[in-house]
Amino acid sequence: MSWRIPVADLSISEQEAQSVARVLRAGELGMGRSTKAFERAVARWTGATWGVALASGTAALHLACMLVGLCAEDSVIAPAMTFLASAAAPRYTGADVVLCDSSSPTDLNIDPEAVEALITPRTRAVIAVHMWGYPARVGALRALCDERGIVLIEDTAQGIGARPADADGQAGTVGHLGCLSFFSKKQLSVGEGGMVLTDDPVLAERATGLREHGREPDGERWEEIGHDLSFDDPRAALGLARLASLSENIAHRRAVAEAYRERLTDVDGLSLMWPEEAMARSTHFAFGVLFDTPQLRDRVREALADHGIQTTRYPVLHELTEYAGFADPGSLPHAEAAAARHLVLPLSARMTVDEVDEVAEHVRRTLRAHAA
Amino acid sequence: MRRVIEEAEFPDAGAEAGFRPDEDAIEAVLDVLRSGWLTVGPRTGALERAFAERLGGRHAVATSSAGGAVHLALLAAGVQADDEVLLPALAPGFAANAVVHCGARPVFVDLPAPGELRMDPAAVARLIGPRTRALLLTHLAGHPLGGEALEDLCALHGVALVHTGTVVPAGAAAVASFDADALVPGCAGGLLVTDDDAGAELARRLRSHGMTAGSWSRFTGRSAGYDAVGLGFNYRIDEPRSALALARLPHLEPELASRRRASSSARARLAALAPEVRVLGAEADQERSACLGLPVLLPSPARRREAVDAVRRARGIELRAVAPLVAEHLAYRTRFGSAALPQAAALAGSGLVLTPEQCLDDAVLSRLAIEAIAA
Repeated sequence: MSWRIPVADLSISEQEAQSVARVLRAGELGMGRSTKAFERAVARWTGATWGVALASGTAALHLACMLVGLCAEDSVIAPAMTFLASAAAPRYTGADVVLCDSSSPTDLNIDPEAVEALITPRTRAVIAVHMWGYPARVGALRALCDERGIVLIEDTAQGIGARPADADGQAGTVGHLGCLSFFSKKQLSVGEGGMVLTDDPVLAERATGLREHGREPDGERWEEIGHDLSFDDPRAALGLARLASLSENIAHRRAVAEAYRERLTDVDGLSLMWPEEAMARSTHFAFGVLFDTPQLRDRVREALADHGIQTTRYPVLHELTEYAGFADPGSLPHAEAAAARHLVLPLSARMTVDEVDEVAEHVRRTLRAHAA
Repeated sequence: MRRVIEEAEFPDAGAEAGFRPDEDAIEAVLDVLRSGWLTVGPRTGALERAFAERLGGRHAVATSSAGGAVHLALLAAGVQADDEVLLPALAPGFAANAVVHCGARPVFVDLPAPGELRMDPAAVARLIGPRTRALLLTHLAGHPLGGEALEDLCALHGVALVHTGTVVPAGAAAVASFDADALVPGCAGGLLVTDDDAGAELARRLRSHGMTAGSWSRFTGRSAGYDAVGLGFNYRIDEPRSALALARLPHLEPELASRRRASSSARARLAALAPEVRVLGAEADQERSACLGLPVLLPSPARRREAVDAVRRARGIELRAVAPLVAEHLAYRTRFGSAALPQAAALAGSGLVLTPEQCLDDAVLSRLAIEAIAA
């Protein structure tokens, strides 16, 4: 079985597909000129100085943590409300992770005040996530981190192109390092892929070496033990071709999100998430709403599933077995409430107005039936 | 000193090795792109089933890199932090690094002699200690670096044995590299094969962040949500690469047969030209070798340099030296101390690996003979 309206969807044009075929026919299967071109193009698009293409967004976060020099003596602050990779990456270096609450149940991102309260002498880095494409307050976070001698890593996996309200420049270019993902559901997708963004040429060069078993760029000797986190030219060719329509993709997503908001405003039983003014600055990786109770959320989820409409929800990290010991239940109330009550509705650059109408109508109908 | 190309993996390796996917493979990739499903899905499943069957194993897990596959294989074998893993001194970087990424200590095993590829079981036995959890049996250009006696030794000591390569005993735990094992030359990717149900489940789960259900499973309605059990990674391969690898499978046997013929031909030619050229790995062992290349030992580093320079001048071809020992890299010496591996170091200093094409190139073989005799 597959969903009539999936939660995420993508289509690849014949032109984009043929750009991959051309590179394959040339036998360019490793990291070569297409990868370099893709790195330059994405850096230019985001406003970063350097981009280093990698196997995945997780690889980008992992590499960022290695570049910072994280180790077992260090502690990293990361959001409780995020995808697993944000918390896993520092742990690969041996550092431990302290989970930070969301700003509110309708604003999933961390805020500087909450972060500041968690800083200890062992804190070496903060990972700020631009959840669902809505930009976090990275201007203020960067100022806080600079004051404390801490590194700010932006997990921009869901937020390529997002514009923070409190900083110049795009998400991913405000912190010391930015991490992008090109996973298949992302706004710019090639299947599996990621990139580290930085303005520091030394970090860019180290990243280039570390992604290929720790070789230095000229291949002479290994000074660090790296990983195979490599990207490849076929994916780079696809990324380059799809980058051309990224802005249009984002505009479509924004229109879908706005259409949902119009149809779900002032509906009893649910609240819209994120402030209205964030709509223009977000790049809309996902659209979610917050129901009054977990039961309502589950009821709507089932009703939508019955009509072939896929939804999803993000668990708060410490509800997962692997992270159960990282925070006590009740200690991160905003993130926990968000996790218990939100539902992510279908959103993609392929979605039509009719589909938005249908999803919204099922949501409203289910809530009315419950209230009756 | 002129640099020689020392490592088997480098950018555009596919282009340099001359490998180009055929139109069937390219069309398979195009079909995937047109389907709009790019992350682990039906092509990856098909690749895993086909490859497991090919190697006589029950389970296969495809990964984004060979290093990732080795990492998962070692974890599936029970390797934990502070364990020790034995591996040949000639092990490639991605294999040794995977041991380190488990938090374990790599213990390199020297060759019995520079011209003898197989580790001596007695030497291996002396290195097995209370913390030894696994033996990672890598190969040199497809030639195994240990023989069947190691299986008995490992069984006796309760040490897991993980092979690398595509010519492995049926049912063995093994890892194949897309690039190094010529599945898809120049392309990153790996395949782990095992008969252990629990090990396969662990590998599959840790391939994707410890998640108990992935995107395809949720898309096809088999799962609604997920838990995360274990600290996992993103070692997911993608559908386009799986499609490429799947399209390559029918070519593997004919290519292996062709490489074995090239290897035999070079052995015979070199024996006729100059028995002083030491060809490594016995002819009789070719059936256990993937014959990815022919290892040859010249009398000294100077003779190797001369051979490489002469062939480059005369033919514009780069002869590939045996890679420097991973144990001698600065990062390893700093972390683990210096390892005394004189026999393997001698091979690394004076050895070459001929490609199958070079095996059939009389000018190359003649030059090797000249350098061997000149000593």
